[in-house]
Amino acid sequence: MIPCFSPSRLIASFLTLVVALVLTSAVELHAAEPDAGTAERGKAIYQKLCADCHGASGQGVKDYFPDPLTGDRSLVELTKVIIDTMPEGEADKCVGDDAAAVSKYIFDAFYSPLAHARVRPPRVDLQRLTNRQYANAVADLIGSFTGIGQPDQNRGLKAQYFNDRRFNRGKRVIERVDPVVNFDFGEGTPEEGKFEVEAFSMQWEGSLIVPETGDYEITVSTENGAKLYLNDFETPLIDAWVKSGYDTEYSQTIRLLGGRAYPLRLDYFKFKEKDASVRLLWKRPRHTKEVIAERYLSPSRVPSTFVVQTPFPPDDNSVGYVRGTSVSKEWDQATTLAAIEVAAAVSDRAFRIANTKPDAGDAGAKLRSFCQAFVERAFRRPLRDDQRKLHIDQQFEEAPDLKAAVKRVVLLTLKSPRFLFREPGSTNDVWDVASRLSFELWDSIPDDELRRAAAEGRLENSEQITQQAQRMVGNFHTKSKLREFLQLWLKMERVGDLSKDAEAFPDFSPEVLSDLRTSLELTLDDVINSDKPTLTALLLGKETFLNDRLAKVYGVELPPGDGFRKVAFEPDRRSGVLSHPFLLTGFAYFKDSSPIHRGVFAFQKILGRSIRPPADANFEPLSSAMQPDLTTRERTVMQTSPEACHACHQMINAVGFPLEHFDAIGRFRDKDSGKPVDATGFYLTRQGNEVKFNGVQEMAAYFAGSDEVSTAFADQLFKHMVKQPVRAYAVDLPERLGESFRNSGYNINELLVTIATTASHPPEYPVAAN
Amino acid sequence: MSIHHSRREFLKTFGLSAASLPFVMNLPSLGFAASTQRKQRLIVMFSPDGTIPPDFWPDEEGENFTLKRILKPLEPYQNRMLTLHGVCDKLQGDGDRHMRGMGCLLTGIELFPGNIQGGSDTPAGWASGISIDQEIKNFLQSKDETRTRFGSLEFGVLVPDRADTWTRMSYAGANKPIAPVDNPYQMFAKLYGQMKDQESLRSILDEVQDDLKKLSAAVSAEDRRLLDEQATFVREMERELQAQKDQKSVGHAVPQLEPGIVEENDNIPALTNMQLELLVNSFTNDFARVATFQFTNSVGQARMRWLGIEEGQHELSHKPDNDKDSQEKLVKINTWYAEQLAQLVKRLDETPEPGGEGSLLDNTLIVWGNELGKGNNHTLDNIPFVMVGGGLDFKMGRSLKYDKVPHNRLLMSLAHGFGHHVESFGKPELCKDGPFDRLVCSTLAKIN
Repeated sequence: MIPCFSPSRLIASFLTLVVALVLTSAVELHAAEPDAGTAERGKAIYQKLCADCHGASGQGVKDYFPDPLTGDRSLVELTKVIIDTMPEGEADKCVGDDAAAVSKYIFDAFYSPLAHARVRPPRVDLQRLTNRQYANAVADLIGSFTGIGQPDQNRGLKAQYFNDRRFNRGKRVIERVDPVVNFDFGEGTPEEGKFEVEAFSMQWEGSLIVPETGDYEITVSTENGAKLYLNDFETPLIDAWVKSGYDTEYSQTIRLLGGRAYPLRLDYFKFKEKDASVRLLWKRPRHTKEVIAERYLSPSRVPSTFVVQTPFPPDDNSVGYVRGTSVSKEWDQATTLAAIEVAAAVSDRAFRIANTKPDAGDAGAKLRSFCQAFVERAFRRPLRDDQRKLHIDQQFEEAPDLKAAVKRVVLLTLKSPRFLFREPGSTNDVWDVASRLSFELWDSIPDDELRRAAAEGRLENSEQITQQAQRMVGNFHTKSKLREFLQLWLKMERVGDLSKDAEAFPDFSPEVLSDLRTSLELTLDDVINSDKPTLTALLLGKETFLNDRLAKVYGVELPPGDGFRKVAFEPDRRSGVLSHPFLLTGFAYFKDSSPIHRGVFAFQKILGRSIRPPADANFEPLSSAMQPDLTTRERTVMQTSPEACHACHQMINAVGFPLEHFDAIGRFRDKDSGKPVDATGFYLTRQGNEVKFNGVQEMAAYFAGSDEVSTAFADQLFKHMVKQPVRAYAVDLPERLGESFRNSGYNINELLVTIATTASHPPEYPVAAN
Repeated sequence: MSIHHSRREFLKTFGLSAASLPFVMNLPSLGFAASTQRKQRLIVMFSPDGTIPPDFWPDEEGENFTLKRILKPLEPYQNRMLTLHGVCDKLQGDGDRHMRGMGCLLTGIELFPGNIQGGSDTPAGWASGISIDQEIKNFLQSKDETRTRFGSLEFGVLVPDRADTWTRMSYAGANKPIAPVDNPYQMFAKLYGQMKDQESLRSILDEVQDDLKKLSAAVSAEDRRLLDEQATFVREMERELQAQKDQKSVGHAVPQLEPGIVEENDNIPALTNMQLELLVNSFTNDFARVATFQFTNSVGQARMRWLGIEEGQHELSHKPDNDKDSQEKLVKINTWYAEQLAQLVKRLDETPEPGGEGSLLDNTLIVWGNELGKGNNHTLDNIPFVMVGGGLDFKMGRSLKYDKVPHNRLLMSLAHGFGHHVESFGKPELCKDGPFDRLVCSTLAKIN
């Protein structure tokens, strides 16, 4: 057992000087402090006037107001709501000092998030692996024996050109690195004088770097013969070796896990056809078809990765982040099919991995030791004797042959709750700590070094754990998980196929939308891959990535070059991701901007505030065609002015309006419907202070310095990484994470280390009996 | 290494179409009683490099004929076979004759122009249409009463590990060649893998249950709910697997394969035998109604050392008629193929039709073909077509002689024999005279 230590001590070790943030453009207005009555007075009023409908401790009453009385309105707002509306139908019964007293009581006793966490403390739940964790765990479990496909910094593909149609080494005339495969030789050859026109061949080799998990449609386009091997050098993904008829495009779809590199080889030859051309393209998830760009290609060789193909039902996402708190028959069946799939793959590889042959005398012993390592890595801990007997010995004794024995071991392992569930029956030992660290930072199982650290007792104290976390944050797994988080934070997955009014936006097309997404992805990657990725860079960064097509649509001069180039994009008008045209396009209608969508995004995701959807959510926006004289802002105000809408919408609209300088595809505009744009807005903080800003630059500057924003970011990142409620670890953990985040200069990597280290020891985990 | 490139491919490999496990793990039910019409099956067997016509074709025409040396092994089944002399592959266009002979044999349509250069003629690509076995498979799969788990199975024996016009005769459509499975263990896994997996699953589920119980005791009450739920699902699966096992114990035995037979020339006889057994077994289990069985490839180079022949078959097939020694060897080689056919016929004959009347042979038609008529002149005339078995209500036991008719008409006859009345098959110009009427005897009483 290791000595107990509290999360707060861990956090304390990250505390440095508090950096005071000076807000230049934001104006803070202090609301009047309420005359706080005594707690007893407020409580007495509550029991008399409120408890019948809201329950004695705000838990709700079934037939009146069933929901618990909780939320994140400020005390000022809450008081105002009580004065204006409570008790229902008799609003004048509770006003003035009474309202202030009862509001203070409610706020402190159970309404505020902190109070709510104290009254009903959330707990750390036992969870199963999420789908992402399952796929990564299986890939890395097998990869721990056969090698892991890690992306590196080299770019392009190793290319060899032969003056011969069969890759004859003696006739190799060119060796180089090609940035992309996108060639049209017409009736000629790759280089005049070096090749015969009738026949030549090429081979490109290296790896494909895959940004996110999903189905990739890969296309080889050629008038000649070609074979593409991807993640498997035995069977080509695309076999167009036999040129036949008039087809020139050959496509196959392959499921790949994000953040990894996969081995790739493209063989190509020309023979007697009139023309010669070859192109390597793909369609990434949610993108249009394009030549695979240099940034996704590396000349380095990597091992292949096992990608589980069994479809799984979607994970629970009901509380705003993906987690594994429920099981279902469908999920159990998927784990069975996947176990069969993995068992077949492992038993095919087992003899090679164990370096033996079916008829070798040592085959049994070598396979048993391979199987033991396999099970221990899958369970994330060494096997006890009785477990080894059951999981290894018994299977080898009962199976008809060695291969069948390996299959049974794998089936038993992958169906075992010790693989499928996260640290079940935890004793909080070093193995649990290692497992938590790796799933939190990587969504996968521990690697060699982490296992060694556990075995050597180097995960005993906070310093050692922090050291491991710091090492792990630099790994491709963490970058991939962080990239996924940032895309969810910006709701990028919600932007699907969308079209825009062709008359108003003649240049907009599916390709432009795809480029916009790429542009934002690259902007995020640029931050993720920097030495010190910060929230500040995300909110205030002036640079983004544009290609020629986007530059034309947005009227930007690009420096010479190919593909996407990093440029300062309207630096005096825009600020960070909030004004990135992809988001502005996504949070907009066919023809008009949508201050409400933009406001909801900023309110929920950036500020971390909760809003309930309207009771009747089927609103159509007022059409600009019906009200041609009004600006979008004026129409939005008009539509959301009824009392039922106003309470929430005044808050939402106020953080959407500052983006009104951007139209439905995110182009800057000074006028809307012929009138000057009004981009003023405000935010009423959780403390009850009203902050005013005009335009996105002032708003972003306020956000970048706001404690609420940094705390909300830390809170959401914690949930994404750990998949547990934050306050289960300490009632004030979000606030403390926010503080240490600010103290680190908004360094996201340091925040990740703090999160992983904090959550490596859940506070109230039951001690197991076995 | 078996990495599945896509979900679809994985699901295909596992024979799955839905993600529901009970369905997935279940083999098709053996409800033979439900089918009222008799089953009809087709096997196309291929051997390469032409034949030796004088030792192959019977001299006589009609019901009274004498089998020559090559077809002698089929003598016990003479009254259930047809020889079809005068049927020619009349397709012209790109590709050398070995390519066209192979690519057009079952498709009846030209090859696309392409980049595969043969020993002569222009380079070509794949065939430009579907093959008859796949056409019939699609027809059978489109109807509930004739649909089977795989529809068709493509067997091979020592097919070279390269995909080109010489190695493929089955096509799912234009430019869609189908690779035969020439590794019996791979075919076994395809046919019976699920069953083996079920056995393994059954053997481990008890242990999973025990472990869940142990862990359940070690966690808090709140967390126990999750593990208990999981235990319920595992128990349900155990029950479902047991129910399936009970239901299937009346089913059919899984064939035993001799282990460790490597794919190499000298193992051709052993590999052939294993593949034939799997074919017969897959029919017994009604996994498919259509099969192809491909020996090597067009231009095949089997070295039949087990017959005392050291030279490769293709090399021999180029020797002139007056090279008596080579002709003798070629007769032996072709006789060996006829023996394999006879073995297949025998196995079908001695296997009773499950849930029906007669034997598998009574309900199966085997067509034996070749990419050439004769090896040393590369003719596509008089392809050595032989048919055996009672699958299609043809009047068997005859030597038929046609006057250089296109083989497209034979392909049409096969479709019509299944009740699939195509207007033409392959190149329409070659189908003008319709299917062969002489094959069918209208007075023959239908079995059933």
